[in-house]
Amino acid sequence: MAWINPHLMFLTAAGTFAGIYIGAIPGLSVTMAVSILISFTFSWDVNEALALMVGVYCGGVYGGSRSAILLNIPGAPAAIATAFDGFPLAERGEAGRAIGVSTVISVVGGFIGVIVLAAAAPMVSEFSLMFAPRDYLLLAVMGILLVGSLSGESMAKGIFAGAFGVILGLVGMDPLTAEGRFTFGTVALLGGVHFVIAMIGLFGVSEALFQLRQIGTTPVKQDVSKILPSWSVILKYLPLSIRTSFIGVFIGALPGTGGDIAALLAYDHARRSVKNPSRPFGKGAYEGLIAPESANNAAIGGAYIPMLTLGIPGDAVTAVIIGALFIHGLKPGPMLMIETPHLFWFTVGNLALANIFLLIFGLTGIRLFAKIVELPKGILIPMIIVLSVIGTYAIENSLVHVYWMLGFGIFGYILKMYGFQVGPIILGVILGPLMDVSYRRAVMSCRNIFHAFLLELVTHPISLILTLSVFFMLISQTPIWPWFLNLLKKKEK
Amino acid sequence: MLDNRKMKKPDVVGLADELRRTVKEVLSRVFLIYTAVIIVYMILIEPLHFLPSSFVFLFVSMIYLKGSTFFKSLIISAVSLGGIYFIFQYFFRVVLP
Repeated sequence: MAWINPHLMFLTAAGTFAGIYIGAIPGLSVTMAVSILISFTFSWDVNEALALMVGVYCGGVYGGSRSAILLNIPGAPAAIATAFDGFPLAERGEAGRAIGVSTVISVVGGFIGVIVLAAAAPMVSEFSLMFAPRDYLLLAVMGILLVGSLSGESMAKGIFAGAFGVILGLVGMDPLTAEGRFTFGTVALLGGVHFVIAMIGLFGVSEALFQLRQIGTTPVKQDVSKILPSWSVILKYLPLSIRTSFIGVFIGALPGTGGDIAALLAYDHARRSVKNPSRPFGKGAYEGLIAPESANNAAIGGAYIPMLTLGIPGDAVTAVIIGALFIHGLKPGPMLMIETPHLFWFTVGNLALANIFLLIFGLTGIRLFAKIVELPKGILIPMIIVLSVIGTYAIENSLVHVYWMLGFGIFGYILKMYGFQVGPIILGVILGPLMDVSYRRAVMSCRNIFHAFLLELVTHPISLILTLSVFFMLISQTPIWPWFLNLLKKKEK
Repeated sequence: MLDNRKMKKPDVVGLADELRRTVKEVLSRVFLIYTAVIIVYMILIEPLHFLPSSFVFLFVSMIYLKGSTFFKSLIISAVSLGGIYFIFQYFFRVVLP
């Protein structure tokens, strides 16, 4: 019950509050904030650090919808689908009501996510004890494939980014034989590339540099006065929000997919399942606002399930939070629930608490909010850079890391110019060592006979299912798949 | 693979022209200048220490990126830096460069 501690409660509240604004300001992302926060919270107790990050995560996912509604600029990727119907509502002068409804619905979604997390994680954890190293390898491959195929414009680019991250994670000492790899003979690289540096560079500085291109755009002002929605409205949309929340939890729980994809799928579900929307979809339907809003907040709880039970991040933010757990000396995975169950329940309590704060902060302080969202990029970009510099310096008090970070920033900028996503890289960096060690252990357990290892991938039931899903994911992206579907249809005729 | 094949061929003449255009598009002027500003800032951190160098950096980049007017930039950089210093020194207990 550590989460009721007033000091930690304050941190969760502060995190949620800050998260709402970070998420709402276009140009600041939750991933950016959490990765910079990691290095600031080095010296803290693990509970304190987690409380703050959970708050920022919850607040940020919700906050992104605010600017999506008011300005038609999603403050976070998870809010892209919110803008489809949220902005038309604002254009009709119903921005206040839209924000009110989205707040309550987000909290509903968030709570469903927490409940599913609390119920499912112990079961998944117990089940995951049956997983062999080869299954972890397959799960990690699946995570990279999923994030690669769903987050960017092309799967090849996504997989490339993921593979690059894996290679980056391999730099340094070999975990089994302690030999240097990819170090070019220098001692400086023997410790590996610190992933927090890569994170801050790729998410912070590269984003700032990328936004130099859109510096001229100024947001439009909006009037928000009445925001408290009536109970009847909430009750009317409750069934839809519960349905889409479960979609959100499920998508969030898949390794590598997070709130953005959950929201898009939920929007799609609402468009297909709601027969008589309040208005046509895309023109200000409340259903189109509610579906993505409940789904993206529910996805938070979902994303924590594979992270806490398998040590495989559910999305980019949980990938960063896993990094934080590593730094605090914890090892996310099946043993986490057995060795430190209090940490799991602490996280669950914290998520619930963050959702309550979301309701409080979400329905107040709109006026201040409207001012902050209009912060021009010219002020924002220098601030991001200064914070990134402090964050990198704080890791080991070394300025060399700061230069490394800038290098990653410029590299990320070039990648973004060519339509590569940086999310898969971070997932790769986190999953790389896991893949490495599990692959080596799996091969060793077959006495280093490679074809025996391949055989094991298809002879054990869990491995077989995972192998088949990895193959399905690959094949469904190639031209063979539509051709195969056509063949099936012809046969039916 | 599929996306690359579907892509329209860019209207460039020869390799030299393509290279020149790519460099111009990716390494735009504002990007190059601002990166240079950041590098100067990082070099200055050591001799000048964190507070003065960050103040100069914030002020210069706000002017350059047209974030605000002269006096407003001065005030915003001072206030935000004060806030950052306070939060990091007392709240996060982080050593600043």
